[in-house]
Amino acid sequence: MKKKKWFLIRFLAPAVLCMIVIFLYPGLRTLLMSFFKVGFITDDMSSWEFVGLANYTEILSSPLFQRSLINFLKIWLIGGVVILGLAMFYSVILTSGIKGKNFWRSVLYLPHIISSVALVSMWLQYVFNNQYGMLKGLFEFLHWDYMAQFQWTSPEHLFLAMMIAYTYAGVGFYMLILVAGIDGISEDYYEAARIEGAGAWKKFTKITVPLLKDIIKRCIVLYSAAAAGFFVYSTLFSFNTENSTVTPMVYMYEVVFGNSAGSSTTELNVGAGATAGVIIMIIVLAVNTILNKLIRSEDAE
Amino acid sequence: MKVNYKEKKCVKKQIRKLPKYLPLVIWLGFTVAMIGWIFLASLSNTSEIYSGDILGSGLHLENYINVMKKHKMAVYFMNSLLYCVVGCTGVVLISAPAAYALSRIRFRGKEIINNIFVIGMSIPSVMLIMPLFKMATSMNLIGSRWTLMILYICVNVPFGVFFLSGFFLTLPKALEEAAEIDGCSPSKAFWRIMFPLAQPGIVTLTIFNFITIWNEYFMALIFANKTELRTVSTGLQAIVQSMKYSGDWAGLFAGVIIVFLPTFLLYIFLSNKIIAGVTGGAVKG
Repeated sequence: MKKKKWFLIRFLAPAVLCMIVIFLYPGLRTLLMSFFKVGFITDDMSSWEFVGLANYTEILSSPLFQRSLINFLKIWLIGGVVILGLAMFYSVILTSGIKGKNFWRSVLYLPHIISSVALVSMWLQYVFNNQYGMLKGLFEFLHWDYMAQFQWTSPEHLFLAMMIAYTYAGVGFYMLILVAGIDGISEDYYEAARIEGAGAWKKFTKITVPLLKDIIKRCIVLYSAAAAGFFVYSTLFSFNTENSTVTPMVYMYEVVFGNSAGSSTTELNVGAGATAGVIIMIIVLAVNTILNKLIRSEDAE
Repeated sequence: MKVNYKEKKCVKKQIRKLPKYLPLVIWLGFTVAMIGWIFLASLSNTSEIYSGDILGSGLHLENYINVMKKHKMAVYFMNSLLYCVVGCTGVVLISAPAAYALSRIRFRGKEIINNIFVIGMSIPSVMLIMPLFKMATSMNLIGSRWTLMILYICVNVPFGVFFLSGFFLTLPKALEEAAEIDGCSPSKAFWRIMFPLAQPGIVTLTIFNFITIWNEYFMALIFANKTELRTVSTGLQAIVQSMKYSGDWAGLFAGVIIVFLPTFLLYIFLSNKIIAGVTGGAVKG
């Protein structure tokens, strides 16, 4: 018995220790930090100054943070509908008995395995480029002059450009999950529907969607977490001082580590950065709870 | 007559299916055009890129040498390789035993440990980064490669435990019983029998972690704040920033290809394994 205990400790201790040191302790410390005024990130806990909810009221009234929340909402809602919609569209095509399914699936997932920085460079330095860019060339060829003149990377269009690039990178991941889900649905349902004379749309809305409910929910949960932690695309698409692509995570980064463009507008307060982190986490938790309630209540009916 | 009718039907069926392929072909066409052009541009020179006369003066392989040496891509590449090798090995060595213990051995307190993993995994990285930075500073690890090596191991352990647990569950129970009868200690039974049997899962996990660590940006941005420590991602971004002044676009595209190639090659040969890993990890959990 003692031997077994020793064996268990040896096997579990490193992983458990890593969870406590890298996840649980920092998580709690950040939560605590959000109620304090902290000058520098390296300050000891003893020099923190308790301010209650002041950090929360401060950042919620900060125009930059408000903007980042609005951007988050746009990314979450519009981006979510487009990305998950496209993922669903492509996964239905892939599971409809086309030739070379595995090949097409790999092609759609490819952007996800490319480094975001490399992918964004391809978009910014080639596709969106206003001198030799792919879109400019394409629209000139088609004689769509308005579109050929479109300045993708000007401040007012930067957010749209970012979302297009992000959509291209993101669709494949959710498509994979949905395809696996659709593959798991028994062929018998579709066979029965076919015999009854149901069309493709009816099959989709009456069989695929209801049976995929849990997997769609999982996709929304995963997408919400990704949207809340939206960072890389936002920083890579922010080379002007307009902050048009700022997100809560970027706000946190600027407040705490503040060395990128636009940091002059934000005063260094590490406590506020922690608060931004807590708000991001609350958003994710809220989305998950609401989704769980919604989907469960539908099941109960 | 009958055969002819059937054939006609078959052709009709294929034509009816054509619109299905259209969205796929558009996607493929765009991807090939984008990556293909970047590749060709990386072999041209900058004035040819601007004039649209790609490869006009033959191959310029010196772009690659330039970006490797002058823009230090070679340093970033070796750093990323080091982070990946250490990270992937560390994750397997820490998470495989834990996954084994959690999935196949009954003991008191298992629930608590499981909960620690579930809660830990649900904390977003934005909540972790500040205390981690503080910890690294107090341990004098800022400005050392150790910080990212340790972090890349630890951050990927929860997924490793979760992924490998599912794998160990599928192995037959009789194996351990046989080992026990033969007088094999539990840990010996694990390293000699179960660990080798879990190899397919371990390989999938390692490819997966390799891609994750290779492409990681957020932590690298914060913890690799010196040129010598940068990863390919933060290094490439630094090159992009500097290109605004140096204007060596062909060199930049060569850098993009260097960062893109390792994961792309892995993907070409192992896409089925990678895809199985994603769907296994995301659907079951």
